Amino acid sequence: MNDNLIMCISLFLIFVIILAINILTPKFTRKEIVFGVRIPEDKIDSDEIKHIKAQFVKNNLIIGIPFIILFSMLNYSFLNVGMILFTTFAFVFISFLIYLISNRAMKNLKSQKLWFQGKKQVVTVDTSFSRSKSNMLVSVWFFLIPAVIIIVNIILGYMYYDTLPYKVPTQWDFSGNVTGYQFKSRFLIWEMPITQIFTTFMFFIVYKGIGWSKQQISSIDPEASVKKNSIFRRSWSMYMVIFAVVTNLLLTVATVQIFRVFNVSNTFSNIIILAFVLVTILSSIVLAFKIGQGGSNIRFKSDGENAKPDFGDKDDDKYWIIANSIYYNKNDPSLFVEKRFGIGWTINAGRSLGMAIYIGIIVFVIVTIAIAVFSGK
Amino acid sequence: MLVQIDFESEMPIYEQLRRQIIEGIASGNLELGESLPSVRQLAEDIGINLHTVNKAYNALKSDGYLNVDRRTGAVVSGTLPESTEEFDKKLNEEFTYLICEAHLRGKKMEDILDLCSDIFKQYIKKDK
Repeated sequence: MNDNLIMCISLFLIFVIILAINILTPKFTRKEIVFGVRIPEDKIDSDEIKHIKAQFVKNNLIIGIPFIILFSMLNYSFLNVGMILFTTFAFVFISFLIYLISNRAMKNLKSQKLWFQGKKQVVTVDTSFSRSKSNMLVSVWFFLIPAVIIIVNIILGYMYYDTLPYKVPTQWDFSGNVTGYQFKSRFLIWEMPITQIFTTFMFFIVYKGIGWSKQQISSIDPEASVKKNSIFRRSWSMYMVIFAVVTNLLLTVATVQIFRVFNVSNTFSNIIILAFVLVTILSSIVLAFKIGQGGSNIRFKSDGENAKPDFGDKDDDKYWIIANSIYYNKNDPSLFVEKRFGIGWTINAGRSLGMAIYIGIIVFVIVTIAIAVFSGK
Repeated sequence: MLVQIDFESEMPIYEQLRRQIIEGIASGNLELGESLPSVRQLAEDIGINLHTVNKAYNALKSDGYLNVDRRTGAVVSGTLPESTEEFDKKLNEEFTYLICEAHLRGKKMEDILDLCSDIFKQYIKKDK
Protein backbone atom coordinates (compact mmCIF):
# COMPACT_ATOMS: atom_id res chain seq x y z
CA MET A 1 0.00 0.00 0.00
CA ASN A 2 1.02 3.55 -0.60
CA ASP A 3 3.05 4.81 2.35
CA ASN A 4 1.23 8.15 2.38
CA LEU A 5 -2.13 6.40 2.53
CA ILE A 6 -1.05 4.34 5.51
CA MET A 7 0.08 7.52 7.25
CA CYS A 8 -3.27 9.23 6.60
CA ILE A 9 -5.27 6.24 7.78
CA SER A 10 -3.17 6.09 10.95
CA LEU A 11 -3.79 9.76 11.64
CA PHE A 12 -7.50 9.29 11.04
CA LEU A 13 -7.61 6.38 13.47
CA ILE A 14 -5.71 8.42 16.05
CA PHE A 15 -8.33 11.17 15.84
CA VAL A 16 -11.11 8.61 16.23
CA ILE A 17 -9.45 7.06 19.27
CA ILE A 18 -8.95 10.47 20.88
CA LEU A 19 -12.63 11.29 20.30
CA ALA A 20 -13.66 7.97 21.84
CA ILE A 21 -11.49 8.58 24.90
CA ASN A 22 -12.93 12.09 25.31
CA ILE A 23 -16.47 10.70 25.25
CA LEU A 24 -15.55 8.04 27.82
CA THR A 25 -13.68 10.37 30.18
CA PRO A 26 -16.65 11.44 32.33
CA LYS A 27 -17.10 7.77 33.22
CA PHE A 28 -13.79 7.60 35.00
CA THR A 29 -13.42 10.97 36.69
CA ARG A 30 -14.14 11.28 40.40
CA LYS A 31 -17.89 11.25 40.80
CA GLU A 32 -18.05 14.51 42.76
CA ILE A 33 -16.20 16.41 40.03
CA VAL A 34 -18.27 16.87 36.88
CA PHE A 35 -16.57 18.54 33.89
CA GLY A 36 -14.09 20.13 36.24
CA VAL A 37 -16.66 21.48 38.70
CA ARG A 38 -16.96 20.15 42.25
CA ILE A 39 -20.45 19.28 43.39
CA PRO A 40 -21.69 17.79 46.69
CA GLU A 41 -21.77 13.99 46.68
CA ASP A 42 -25.48 13.75 47.30
CA LYS A 43 -26.32 15.77 44.18
CA ILE A 44 -24.39 13.60 41.74
CA ASP A 45 -27.45 11.88 40.29
CA SER A 46 -29.53 14.99 39.73
CA ASP A 47 -31.36 15.27 36.42
CA GLU A 48 -29.72 18.49 35.30
CA ILE A 49 -26.30 16.92 35.59
CA LYS A 50 -27.37 13.84 33.67
CA HIS A 51 -28.63 16.16 30.94
CA ILE A 52 -25.31 17.99 30.73
CA LYS A 53 -23.46 14.67 30.51
CA ALA A 54 -25.69 13.48 27.68
CA GLN A 55 -25.20 16.78 25.86
CA PHE A 56 -21.42 16.34 26.17
CA VAL A 57 -21.58 13.05 24.26
CA LYS A 58 -23.78 14.63 21.58
CA ASN A 59 -21.46 17.64 21.23
CA ASN A 60 -18.47 15.37 20.76
CA LEU A 61 -20.22 13.52 17.96
CA ILE A 62 -21.81 16.55 16.27
CA ILE A 63 -18.69 18.72 16.40
CA GLY A 64 -15.94 16.11 16.56
CA ILE A 65 -16.86 13.89 13.61
CA PRO A 66 -17.07 16.65 10.94
CA PHE A 67 -13.73 18.04 12.10
CA ILE A 68 -12.12 14.60 11.98
CA ILE A 69 -13.31 14.21 8.39
CA LEU A 70 -12.11 17.72 7.50
CA PHE A 71 -8.69 17.26 9.11
CA SER A 72 -8.20 13.83 7.55
CA MET A 73 -8.95 15.24 4.12
CA LEU A 74 -6.51 18.10 4.74
CA ASN A 75 -3.85 15.61 5.81
CA TYR A 76 -4.42 13.51 2.71
CA SER A 77 -4.26 16.49 0.36
CA PHE A 78 -1.27 18.23 1.90
CA LEU A 79 0.71 15.48 3.53
CA ASN A 80 3.55 17.40 5.21
CA VAL A 81 4.80 18.03 8.72
CA GLY A 82 3.15 21.45 8.87
CA MET A 83 -0.33 20.14 8.05
CA ILE A 84 -0.05 17.22 10.45
CA LEU A 85 1.03 19.56 13.25
CA PHE A 86 -1.78 21.96 12.44
CA THR A 87 -4.51 19.33 12.37
CA THR A 88 -3.21 17.68 15.55
CA PHE A 89 -3.09 20.86 17.60
CA ALA A 90 -6.37 22.06 16.09
CA PHE A 91 -8.07 18.82 17.07
CA VAL A 92 -6.80 19.06 20.64
CA PHE A 93 -8.09 22.62 20.75
CA ILE A 94 -11.50 21.58 19.40
CA SER A 95 -11.69 18.84 22.06
CA PHE A 96 -10.99 21.48 24.69
CA LEU A 97 -13.75 23.73 23.31
CA ILE A 98 -16.24 20.84 23.49
CA TYR A 99 -15.23 20.30 27.14
CA LEU A 100 -15.54 24.05 27.73
CA ILE A 101 -19.21 24.02 26.70
CA SER A 102 -20.02 21.44 29.38
CA ASN A 103 -17.77 23.17 31.93
CA ARG A 104 -19.69 26.43 31.43
CA ALA A 105 -23.02 24.63 31.75
CA MET A 106 -21.88 23.06 35.05
CA LYS A 107 -20.63 26.39 36.41
CA ASN A 108 -23.97 28.05 35.63
CA LEU A 109 -25.86 25.20 37.25
CA LYS A 110 -23.73 25.35 40.38
CA SER A 111 -24.07 29.10 40.84
CA GLN A 112 -27.84 28.84 40.36
CA LYS A 113 -28.25 26.04 42.85
CA LEU A 114 -26.02 27.28 45.69
CA TRP A 115 -25.33 23.68 46.67
CA PHE A 116 -22.44 24.32 49.02
CA GLN A 117 -24.20 26.77 51.26
CA GLY A 118 -24.63 25.58 54.81
CA LYS A 119 -22.52 22.46 54.45
CA LYS A 120 -19.51 21.94 56.67
CA GLN A 121 -16.53 21.96 54.33
CA VAL A 122 -13.46 20.13 55.46
CA VAL A 123 -10.26 18.68 54.12
CA THR A 124 -9.64 15.19 55.47
CA VAL A 125 -6.11 13.83 55.72
CA ASP A 126 -5.00 10.41 56.94
CA THR A 127 -1.68 10.81 58.78
CA SER A 128 -0.48 7.26 58.14
CA PHE A 129 -1.30 7.58 54.41
CA SER A 130 0.70 10.81 54.42
CA ARG A 131 3.74 9.01 55.74
CA SER A 132 3.54 5.92 53.58
CA LYS A 133 2.79 7.33 50.13
CA SER A 134 5.95 5.95 48.59
CA ASN A 135 5.20 2.52 50.07
CA MET A 136 2.04 2.31 48.03
CA LEU A 137 4.02 2.02 44.83
CA VAL A 138 5.24 -1.30 43.51
CA SER A 139 8.83 -2.07 44.38
CA VAL A 140 11.37 0.18 42.68
CA TRP A 141 13.48 -2.90 41.94
CA PHE A 142 11.07 -3.74 39.12
CA PHE A 143 12.85 -1.04 37.13
CA LEU A 144 15.81 -3.39 36.92
CA ILE A 145 13.94 -5.21 34.16
CA PRO A 146 13.97 -2.32 31.68
CA ALA A 147 17.56 -1.60 32.77
CA VAL A 148 18.57 -5.14 31.83
CA ILE A 149 16.88 -4.77 28.45
CA ILE A 150 18.92 -1.62 27.80
CA ILE A 151 22.13 -3.45 28.67
CA VAL A 152 21.17 -6.26 26.28
CA ASN A 153 20.75 -3.65 23.53
CA ILE A 154 24.21 -2.26 24.18
CA ILE A 155 25.73 -5.74 24.16
CA LEU A 156 23.97 -6.60 20.90
CA GLY A 157 25.31 -3.40 19.37
CA TYR A 158 28.91 -4.23 20.29
CA MET A 159 28.55 -7.86 19.23
CA TYR A 160 27.20 -7.16 15.76
CA TYR A 161 28.99 -3.88 15.03
CA ASP A 162 31.67 -5.42 12.85
CA THR A 163 29.15 -7.07 10.55
CA LEU A 164 27.70 -3.72 9.51
CA PRO A 165 28.40 -2.12 6.11
CA TYR A 166 29.88 1.39 5.87
CA LYS A 167 26.50 2.89 5.12
CA VAL A 168 23.99 1.50 7.63
CA PRO A 169 20.26 1.50 6.83
CA THR A 170 18.53 2.92 9.88
CA GLN A 171 15.06 3.91 8.70
CA TRP A 172 12.42 2.02 6.78
CA ASP A 173 8.97 2.92 5.55
CA PHE A 174 5.88 0.75 6.04
CA SER A 175 6.60 -1.29 2.92
CA GLY A 176 10.14 -2.15 4.00
CA ASN A 177 12.04 0.20 1.68
CA VAL A 178 15.07 1.85 3.20
CA THR A 179 14.48 5.58 3.72
CA GLY A 180 17.44 6.61 5.87
CA TYR A 181 21.11 5.77 6.32
CA GLN A 182 23.80 6.55 8.85
CA PHE A 183 27.53 6.19 8.55
CA LYS A 184 29.02 3.44 10.64
CA SER A 185 30.41 4.79 13.92
CA ARG A 186 30.68 3.63 17.53
CA PHE A 187 28.02 6.17 18.43
CA LEU A 188 25.47 4.15 16.47
CA ILE A 189 25.66 1.46 19.16
CA TRP A 190 24.48 4.00 21.71
CA GLU A 191 21.67 5.68 19.82
CA MET A 192 18.88 3.24 20.64
CA PRO A 193 20.09 2.68 24.24
CA ILE A 194 20.17 6.43 24.84
CA THR A 195 16.57 6.68 23.63
CA GLN A 196 15.67 3.78 25.90
CA ILE A 197 17.42 5.35 28.87
CA PHE A 198 15.57 8.60 28.26
CA THR A 199 12.13 6.97 27.98
CA THR A 200 12.75 4.67 30.96
CA PHE A 201 13.78 7.71 32.96
CA MET A 202 10.54 9.48 32.02
CA PHE A 203 8.46 6.51 33.18
CA PHE A 204 10.52 6.41 36.37
CA ILE A 205 9.81 10.08 37.06
CA VAL A 206 6.08 9.52 36.59
CA TYR A 207 6.35 6.50 38.92
CA LYS A 208 8.02 8.67 41.57
CA GLY A 209 5.52 11.46 40.93
CA ILE A 210 2.67 9.11 41.80
CA GLY A 211 4.29 8.64 45.19
CA TRP A 212 4.79 12.35 45.74
CA SER A 213 1.33 13.47 44.74
CA LYS A 214 -1.05 15.08 47.18
CA GLN A 215 -3.38 12.90 49.20
CA GLN A 216 -6.97 13.61 48.22
CA ILE A 217 -9.54 11.68 50.18
CA SER A 218 -13.26 12.12 50.42
CA SER A 219 -14.53 13.52 53.70
CA ILE A 220 -17.76 11.57 53.50
CA ASP A 221 -16.20 8.09 53.74
CA PRO A 222 -12.50 8.59 54.51
CA GLU A 223 -11.53 4.99 55.32
CA ALA A 224 -12.88 3.62 52.04
CA SER A 225 -11.40 6.56 50.16
CA VAL A 226 -7.92 5.79 51.56
CA LYS A 227 -8.12 2.14 50.46
CA LYS A 228 -9.35 3.02 46.97
CA ASN A 229 -6.67 5.66 46.57
CA SER A 230 -3.94 3.17 47.53
CA ILE A 231 -5.16 0.73 44.89
CA PHE A 232 -5.21 3.56 42.34
CA ARG A 233 -1.61 4.58 43.05
CA ARG A 234 -0.32 1.04 43.18
CA SER A 235 -1.97 0.00 39.91
CA TRP A 236 -0.69 2.95 37.90
CA SER A 237 2.81 2.62 39.35
CA MET A 238 2.82 -1.01 38.17
CA TYR A 239 1.57 0.14 34.78
CA MET A 240 4.54 2.52 34.52
CA VAL A 241 6.93 -0.38 35.02
CA ILE A 242 5.11 -2.49 32.44
CA PHE A 243 5.03 0.39 29.98
CA ALA A 244 8.78 0.97 30.42
CA VAL A 245 9.48 -2.72 29.77
CA VAL A 246 7.23 -2.90 26.70
CA THR A 247 8.63 0.33 25.21
CA ASN A 248 12.20 -0.90 25.67
CA LEU A 249 11.29 -4.22 24.04
CA LEU A 250 9.80 -2.36 21.08
CA LEU A 251 12.97 -0.31 20.68
CA THR A 252 14.97 -3.52 20.95
CA VAL A 253 13.24 -4.66 17.76
CA ALA A 254 14.73 -1.55 16.12
CA THR A 255 18.20 -2.45 17.42
CA VAL A 256 17.79 -5.97 16.06
CA GLN A 257 16.85 -4.54 12.65
CA ILE A 258 19.68 -1.99 12.48
CA PHE A 259 22.37 -4.40 13.66
CA ARG A 260 20.94 -7.33 11.67
CA VAL A 261 21.05 -9.61 14.70
CA PHE A 262 18.58 -11.77 12.86
CA ASN A 263 16.38 -11.09 9.90
CA VAL A 264 13.23 -9.29 10.97
CA SER A 265 10.61 -9.35 8.27
CA ASN A 266 8.90 -6.11 7.49
CA THR A 267 5.47 -7.57 8.19
CA PHE A 268 6.64 -8.77 11.59
CA SER A 269 7.88 -5.35 12.69
CA ASN A 270 4.74 -3.61 11.41
CA ILE A 271 2.59 -6.07 13.34
CA ILE A 272 4.66 -5.60 16.48
CA ILE A 273 4.34 -1.83 16.31
CA LEU A 274 0.59 -2.02 15.67
CA ALA A 275 0.12 -4.53 18.47
CA PHE A 276 2.09 -2.33 20.86
CA VAL A 277 -0.04 0.71 20.09
CA LEU A 278 -3.37 -1.14 20.33
CA VAL A 279 -2.52 -3.00 23.52
CA THR A 280 -1.25 0.17 25.18
CA ILE A 281 -4.34 2.18 24.33
CA LEU A 282 -6.84 -0.56 25.17
CA SER A 283 -5.16 -1.57 28.41
CA SER A 284 -4.98 1.99 29.70
CA ILE A 285 -8.66 2.57 28.88
CA VAL A 286 -9.65 -0.66 30.64
CA LEU A 287 -7.52 0.16 33.68
CA ALA A 288 -8.95 3.69 33.76
CA PHE A 289 -12.48 2.27 33.72
CA LYS A 290 -11.99 -0.38 36.36
CA ILE A 291 -10.24 1.88 38.84
CA GLY A 292 -11.41 5.40 38.02
CA GLN A 293 -9.61 8.57 38.98
CA GLY A 294 -8.43 8.30 42.57
CA GLY A 295 -10.00 4.86 42.81
CA SER A 296 -13.54 6.22 42.49
CA ASN A 297 -14.82 3.38 40.27
CA ILE A 298 -13.77 0.68 42.73
CA ARG A 299 -16.72 -0.81 44.59
CA PHE A 300 -16.38 -2.24 48.06
CA LYS A 301 -19.14 -4.30 49.64
CA SER A 302 -18.97 -2.04 52.65
CA ASP A 303 -19.51 1.16 50.66
CA GLY A 304 -21.85 3.61 52.31
CA GLU A 305 -21.74 1.96 55.74
CA ASN A 306 -19.50 4.54 57.35
CA ALA A 307 -20.71 7.50 55.33
CA LYS A 308 -20.98 10.85 57.07
CA PRO A 309 -23.35 12.77 54.83
CA ASP A 310 -23.20 16.09 56.66
CA PHE A 311 -19.55 16.48 55.77
CA GLY A 312 -18.52 17.71 52.38
CA ASP A 313 -15.19 18.26 50.77
CA LYS A 314 -13.89 21.80 50.66
CA ASP A 315 -15.05 23.60 47.54
CA ASP A 316 -11.74 24.30 45.83
CA ASP A 317 -13.05 25.32 42.39
CA LYS A 318 -11.41 28.72 42.72
CA TYR A 319 -7.93 27.21 42.49
CA TRP A 320 -8.67 25.62 39.11
CA ILE A 321 -8.24 28.18 36.33
CA ILE A 322 -8.92 28.13 32.58
CA ALA A 323 -12.16 26.16 32.62
CA ASN A 324 -11.04 24.29 35.74
CA SER A 325 -8.24 22.57 33.87
CA ILE A 326 -5.10 24.01 35.49
CA TYR A 327 -4.43 23.98 39.24
CA TYR A 328 -3.05 27.27 40.55
CA ASN A 329 -2.68 27.55 44.31
CA LYS A 330 0.23 29.50 45.75
CA ASN A 331 -0.61 28.45 49.30
CA ASP A 332 -0.40 24.76 48.50
CA PRO A 333 3.14 23.39 48.72
CA SER A 334 2.30 20.23 46.78
CA LEU A 335 3.62 19.87 43.23
CA PHE A 336 1.46 17.06 41.83
CA VAL A 337 -2.30 16.98 42.36
CA GLU A 338 -4.97 14.80 40.76
CA LYS A 339 -6.38 16.03 37.47
CA ARG A 340 -10.01 17.05 37.47
CA PHE A 341 -10.97 15.83 34.00
CA GLY A 342 -9.15 12.67 33.07
CA ILE A 343 -6.92 10.09 34.69
CA GLY A 344 -3.68 11.01 36.34
CA TRP A 345 -2.03 13.97 37.86
CA THR A 346 -1.29 17.55 36.94
CA ILE A 347 1.13 20.16 38.21
CA ASN A 348 0.44 23.01 40.61
CA ALA A 349 1.21 26.13 38.57
CA GLY A 350 1.14 28.19 41.77
CA ARG A 351 4.45 26.73 42.82
CA SER A 352 7.37 28.34 41.02
CA LEU A 353 8.84 24.92 40.22
CA GLY A 354 5.46 23.94 38.77
CA MET A 355 5.27 27.03 36.59
CA ALA A 356 8.86 26.39 35.47
CA ILE A 357 7.92 22.86 34.41
CA TYR A 358 4.94 24.10 32.39
CA ILE A 359 7.07 26.71 30.64
CA GLY A 360 9.86 24.18 30.13
CA ILE A 361 7.50 21.76 28.42
CA ILE A 362 6.15 24.46 26.10
CA VAL A 363 9.68 25.58 25.20
CA PHE A 364 10.71 21.95 24.60
CA VAL A 365 7.77 21.40 22.24
CA ILE A 366 8.44 24.60 20.29
CA VAL A 367 12.16 23.85 19.97
CA THR A 368 11.49 20.26 18.86
CA ILE A 369 9.04 21.42 16.20
CA ALA A 370 11.44 24.12 15.02
CA ILE A 371 14.27 21.60 14.70
CA ALA A 372 12.04 19.17 12.82
CA VAL A 373 10.82 21.85 10.42
CA PHE A 374 14.25 23.34 9.75
CA SER A 375 16.09 20.05 9.33
CA GLY A 376 13.37 18.92 6.92
CA LYS A 377 14.17 21.82 4.57
CA MET B 1 -5.43 8.83 62.20
CA LEU B 2 -7.80 11.11 60.34
CA VAL B 3 -7.35 14.86 60.61
CA GLN B 4 -10.17 17.15 59.46
CA ILE B 5 -9.40 20.78 58.77
CA ASP B 6 -12.21 23.30 58.38
CA PHE B 7 -10.91 26.18 56.29
CA GLU B 8 -13.94 28.37 57.05
CA SER B 9 -13.69 28.00 60.82
CA GLU B 10 -12.80 30.86 63.14
CA MET B 11 -10.30 28.62 64.84
CA PRO B 12 -6.91 28.95 63.14
CA ILE B 13 -5.70 25.90 61.23
CA TYR B 14 -2.61 25.32 63.39
CA GLU B 15 -4.87 25.25 66.44
CA GLN B 16 -7.25 22.76 64.79
CA LEU B 17 -4.26 20.54 64.00
CA ARG B 18 -2.80 20.85 67.48
CA ARG B 19 -6.11 19.96 69.13
CA GLN B 20 -6.83 17.02 66.85
CA ILE B 21 -3.41 15.51 67.46
CA ILE B 22 -3.95 15.80 71.22
CA GLU B 23 -7.42 14.26 70.89
CA GLY B 24 -5.92 11.55 68.70
CA ILE B 25 -3.33 10.64 71.33
CA ALA B 26 -5.97 10.66 74.06
CA SER B 27 -8.32 8.37 72.16
CA GLY B 28 -5.56 5.98 71.14
CA ASN B 29 -5.92 6.70 67.43
CA LEU B 30 -2.35 7.93 67.66
CA GLU B 31 -0.29 5.51 69.69
CA LEU B 32 2.58 6.55 71.90
CA GLY B 33 5.75 6.36 69.86
CA GLU B 34 3.88 6.44 66.53
CA SER B 35 5.37 8.47 63.71
CA LEU B 36 3.60 11.47 62.27
CA PRO B 37 4.19 12.71 58.76
CA SER B 38 6.95 15.25 58.26
CA VAL B 39 6.06 18.94 58.22
CA ARG B 40 6.34 19.04 54.44
CA GLN B 41 4.29 15.88 53.84
CA LEU B 42 1.45 17.01 56.08
CA ALA B 43 1.47 20.56 54.69
CA GLU B 44 1.29 19.23 51.13
CA ASP B 45 -1.53 16.83 51.88
CA ILE B 46 -3.67 19.41 53.66
CA GLY B 47 -2.68 22.07 51.16
CA ILE B 48 -1.40 24.67 53.62
CA ASN B 49 1.82 26.54 54.26
CA LEU B 50 4.66 24.65 55.97
CA HIS B 51 4.84 27.35 58.66
CA THR B 52 1.32 26.48 59.81
CA VAL B 53 2.17 22.82 60.35
CA ASN B 54 5.47 23.83 61.91
CA LYS B 55 3.66 26.04 64.39
CA ALA B 56 1.37 23.19 65.44
CA TYR B 57 4.23 20.71 65.75
CA ASN B 58 6.35 23.19 67.72
CA ALA B 59 3.54 23.92 70.15
CA LEU B 60 3.04 20.18 70.70
CA LYS B 61 6.78 19.70 71.09
CA SER B 62 7.14 22.40 73.74
CA ASP B 63 4.22 20.90 75.66
CA GLY B 64 5.92 17.52 75.55
CA TYR B 65 3.51 15.59 73.30
CA LEU B 66 5.81 15.26 70.30
CA ASN B 67 9.49 14.64 69.78
CA VAL B 68 10.79 16.19 66.61
CA ASP B 69 14.04 14.71 65.37
CA ARG B 70 15.82 15.68 62.19
CA ARG B 71 16.37 12.08 61.19
CA THR B 72 13.22 10.29 62.30
CA GLY B 73 10.84 13.23 61.92
CA ALA B 74 7.90 13.85 64.22
CA VAL B 75 7.09 11.11 66.70
CA VAL B 76 4.49 10.98 69.47
CA SER B 77 6.29 10.96 72.83
CA GLY B 78 6.81 7.67 74.56
CA THR B 79 5.79 9.23 77.85
CA LEU B 80 3.13 11.84 78.28
CA PRO B 81 3.81 15.16 80.00
CA GLU B 82 2.87 15.55 83.64
CA SER B 83 0.21 17.99 84.67
CA THR B 84 1.84 21.34 85.40
CA GLU B 85 0.67 24.30 87.40
CA GLU B 86 0.36 26.21 84.17
CA PHE B 87 -1.90 23.54 82.69
CA ASP B 88 -4.04 23.39 85.85
CA LYS B 89 -4.52 27.11 85.63
CA LYS B 90 -5.51 26.89 81.95
CA LEU B 91 -7.95 24.04 82.70
CA ASN B 92 -9.52 26.08 85.49
CA GLU B 93 -9.89 29.16 83.29
CA GLU B 94 -11.37 27.27 80.33
CA PHE B 95 -13.85 25.40 82.48
CA THR B 96 -14.84 28.56 84.33
CA TYR B 97 -15.71 30.29 81.08
CA LEU B 98 -17.56 27.30 79.60
CA ILE B 99 -19.51 26.45 82.75
CA CYS B 100 -20.56 30.04 83.24
CA GLU B 101 -21.78 30.42 79.68
CA ALA B 102 -23.52 27.02 79.82
CA HIS B 103 -25.28 28.07 83.00
CA LEU B 104 -26.41 31.30 81.39
CA ARG B 105 -27.87 29.30 78.58
CA GLY B 106 -29.84 27.13 80.97
CA LYS B 107 -27.62 24.10 81.45
CA LYS B 108 -27.82 22.45 84.88
CA MET B 109 -24.90 20.93 86.80
CA GLU B 110 -26.10 17.39 85.96
CA ASP B 111 -26.22 18.22 82.24
CA ILE B 112 -22.66 19.46 82.34
CA LEU B 113 -21.39 16.49 84.37
CA ASP B 114 -23.22 14.05 82.07
CA LEU B 115 -21.69 15.74 79.06
CA CYS B 116 -18.23 15.43 80.59
CA SER B 117 -18.62 11.77 81.32
CA ASP B 118 -20.06 11.05 77.86
CA ILE B 119 -17.10 12.72 76.22
CA PHE B 120 -14.71 10.83 78.47
CA LYS B 121 -16.34 7.49 77.63
CA GLN B 122 -16.40 8.29 73.91
CA TYR B 123 -12.82 9.46 73.53
CA ILE B 124 -10.81 7.99 76.34
CA LYS B 125 -10.81 4.33 75.41
CA LYS B 126 -7.56 3.36 77.05
CA ASP B 127 -7.12 3.24 80.79
CA LYS B 128 -3.87 4.49 82.28
